[in-house]
Amino acid sequence: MAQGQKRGPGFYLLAAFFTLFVIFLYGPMLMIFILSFQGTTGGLTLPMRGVSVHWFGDLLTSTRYGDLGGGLTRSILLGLLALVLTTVISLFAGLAFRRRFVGAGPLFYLSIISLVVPGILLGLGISQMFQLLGLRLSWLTSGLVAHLTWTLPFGLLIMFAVLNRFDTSWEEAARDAGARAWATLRLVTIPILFPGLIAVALFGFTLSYDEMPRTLLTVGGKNTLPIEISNMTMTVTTPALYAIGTLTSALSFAVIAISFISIAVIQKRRERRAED
Amino acid sequence: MSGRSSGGGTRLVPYLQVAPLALFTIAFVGIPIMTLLALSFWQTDGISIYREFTLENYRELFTSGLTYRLFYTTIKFALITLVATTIIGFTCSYFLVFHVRSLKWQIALLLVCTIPFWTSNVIRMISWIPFLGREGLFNRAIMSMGLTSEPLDFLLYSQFSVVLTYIHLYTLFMIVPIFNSMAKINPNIIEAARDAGASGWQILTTIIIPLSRTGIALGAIFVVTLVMGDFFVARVMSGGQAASVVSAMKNQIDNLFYPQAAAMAILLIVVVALLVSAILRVVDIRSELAK
Amino acid sequence: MSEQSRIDIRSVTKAFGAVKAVNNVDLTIDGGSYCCMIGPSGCGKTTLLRMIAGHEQPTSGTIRIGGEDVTHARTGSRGTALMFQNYALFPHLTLTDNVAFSLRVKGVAGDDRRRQAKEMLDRVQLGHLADRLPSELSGGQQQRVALARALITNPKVLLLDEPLSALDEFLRLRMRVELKRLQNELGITFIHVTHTQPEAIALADQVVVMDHGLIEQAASPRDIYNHPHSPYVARFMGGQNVLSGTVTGRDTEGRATVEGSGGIRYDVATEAAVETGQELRFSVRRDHIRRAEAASGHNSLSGTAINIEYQGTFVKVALDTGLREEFIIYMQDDAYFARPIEVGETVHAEWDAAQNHHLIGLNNSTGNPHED
Repeated sequence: MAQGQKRGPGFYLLAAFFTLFVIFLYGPMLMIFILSFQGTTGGLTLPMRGVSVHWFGDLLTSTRYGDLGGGLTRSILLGLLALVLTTVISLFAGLAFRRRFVGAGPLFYLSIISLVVPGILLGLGISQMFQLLGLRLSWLTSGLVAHLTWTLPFGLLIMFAVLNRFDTSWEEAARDAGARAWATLRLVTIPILFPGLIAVALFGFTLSYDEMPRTLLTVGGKNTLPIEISNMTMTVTTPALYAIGTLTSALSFAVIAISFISIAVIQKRRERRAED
Repeated sequence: MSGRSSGGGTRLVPYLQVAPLALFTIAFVGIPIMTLLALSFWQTDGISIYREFTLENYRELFTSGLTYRLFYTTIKFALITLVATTIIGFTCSYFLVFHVRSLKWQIALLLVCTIPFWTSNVIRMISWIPFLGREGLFNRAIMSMGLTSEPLDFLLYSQFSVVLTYIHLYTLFMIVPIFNSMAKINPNIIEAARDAGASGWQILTTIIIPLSRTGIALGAIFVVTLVMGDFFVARVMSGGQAASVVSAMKNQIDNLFYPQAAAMAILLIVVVALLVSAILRVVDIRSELAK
Repeated sequence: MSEQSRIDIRSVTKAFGAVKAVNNVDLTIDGGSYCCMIGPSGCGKTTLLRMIAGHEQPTSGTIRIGGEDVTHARTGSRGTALMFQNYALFPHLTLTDNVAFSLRVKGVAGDDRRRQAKEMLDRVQLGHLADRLPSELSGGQQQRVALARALITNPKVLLLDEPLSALDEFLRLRMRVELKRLQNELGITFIHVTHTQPEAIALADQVVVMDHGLIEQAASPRDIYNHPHSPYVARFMGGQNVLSGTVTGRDTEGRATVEGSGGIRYDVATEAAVETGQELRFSVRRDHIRRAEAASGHNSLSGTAINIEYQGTFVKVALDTGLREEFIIYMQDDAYFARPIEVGETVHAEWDAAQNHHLIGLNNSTGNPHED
């Protein structure tokens, strides 16, 4: 809009506002990160009484903090399952939604409901349904299902956006060259959609990994990591709380970084192959 | 003509492709909500549930003053958060779309705003505690500046800290859809308006805000439903002072009053649905999304 | 080869809901010929092409290729290859892999298929770009890759969906020549959908003019141009004036005598049975019209010049004759410049009775080619 014009005072005002927002967004997290390296005698707030990794060690060795290792394992497993199922189911559903079929409208609205109904209510519904059916609640059954009610609608919406830029004549060209449905999917559709599918996978994993409201009532006897952490917030009054925050955020950032890097690498590779 | 479906006896294909999603959504979204509905009409004595129809749960719900106070507080939180996140989200998106010139920077800065979305909400919430507490950074700062001699108590474990946390957690649900809407505005329209003599303020109110309304509505739906469905922030950040609808419901569940909790849940779903349809009344999101 | 690549379309209908995109169409395309399907957008030409390719299933009717019923045969197994309007090159594959795609699907070994693809790319003069991605090519190059990808399947029939529409004028003319040369060389059937009349006239052995899901006329370009079937065809293909009048009788030579507006008499030779009192439409080629000194009242028309365009080898003069359509004369430029016409001047035009061509068909739509 302002191409070629000098930046006015409006720009600097808005830039300052944006900067403040970014500080607002990241400042507290940075604080947690710093405080997690609090000295052995340090408390929940500044000042730092020395710098140590004591609280990380405490977290790993002490049993006071609940079943953090188990929670982490379960959360990662659930995240991976959600990743795979969300990617596969959203891919095919997205492909289906390109055409008209009976029930497309109601299914779309039910998916949106799944997104906007307060998570804990859906969790309550699922847990009650399981109990009425005489099924036991467990993180791997009712828990996984509850996670998917959160990740699938997101996956579907992302697939809509990704498929918006997908030209159906690519698939027709593949069929025209003699490819059957499976070959078309494997050799044309999936490779072209791949960066978008990574985005779906990223959402699938991280949304599941951080999920809490839906999990709370459906997880059964063994908790996921966010529930373990939220229990800690009620009971733990040492910087170990921040240490777990630093660790789990680092894991989230690692997943995000890996996803972005792999998307970038795929695109780079396509470009590089083009340059040779 | 190119958009039409291809032949080859493939009429069945979309049904096969969508079957997993359809079966899942019906089984684990549709039926659970129906279960809640049924449960809300059943009887309980606090120990076991009897599958006999009663309106008692709803009668109790509607005759209790607590219900109205809970909904009042929760809707108040939702509206304050909505206003704040809309202003922040709109301003930030406006800056990114209309003042950041290179696309690369636009995307990079948007990414900066969205990365926290992928990290734990619990952690982001508790990260305010060392900042806002009596001994926290903020109180230390203003005391050392001599602005106050006593630490401010309202900062943490108050309605203020609840709303602040909501804004912190949910603003990016506003930024992304508003950014999307704004990015679709053809810059030529703004040039044309400027040529026609419109001032910056007129351009904002007559062009940019109306053309961003889909994004604002989409963001509003997210923010309202997230706040209305929250119990954890309200519980922890208010220090147990402010109760939200869901935290009260959670208490009923913990005490095994499932039918009462289900009635509360159904009422909440109805209220959320009314709020969402009020937003949809202003903007037809589905037809706008198709563009 | 010729019999093998002959196409017989019998009573083919394609309905999309209540709309019949193709309505009970019969068409025979000779093996080894170049066929152009032309018509405004939405006329059904692309749908017909896609049914031949197998990307759409006819609602009823049969399609045979080389005598073999392929109506429900799988796409890609019926001896056709389709070149898409936007080329539909696979963005993630190099040119070699794009061209080799059908071989890969058939299970041809890697080295072998790459060698064949390379040969095909050399043939379209793109061998030196074999390892590039489609996004790095110009429009004209992309089109040649699409052609190579279609031809490597050794099709009996090559289907081209508006192949030249995305190219600029210069490239379009060059590729037109290229396509014709290729078709001669390969001797297979080409079916080419277009909405550009000069393209169809220049390329085709057989032109198929369509409108509203129906074939208006299928004939050689010369026939289409000299003997249009209906007012629609005459207008759509251009170069014609469409006139009409009431039949008043037959003259001694058996020609219908037609009285047009203003009482002007036209003699229209026709083999069709015509009755006195019926309305009859006929066409006159714009380049067969002379300027006359005065109105003769017989195979002639007078009007006011409203527009004059110099076209290089001829001059296009548009007259307002009081009829709904402009009346247009193509005058040789030397004849015109010997006595130029001013806008607003009254011009008398006349022609030989032999130039009147009876338009038997009833389709009287304006035939303005819609822009896509």
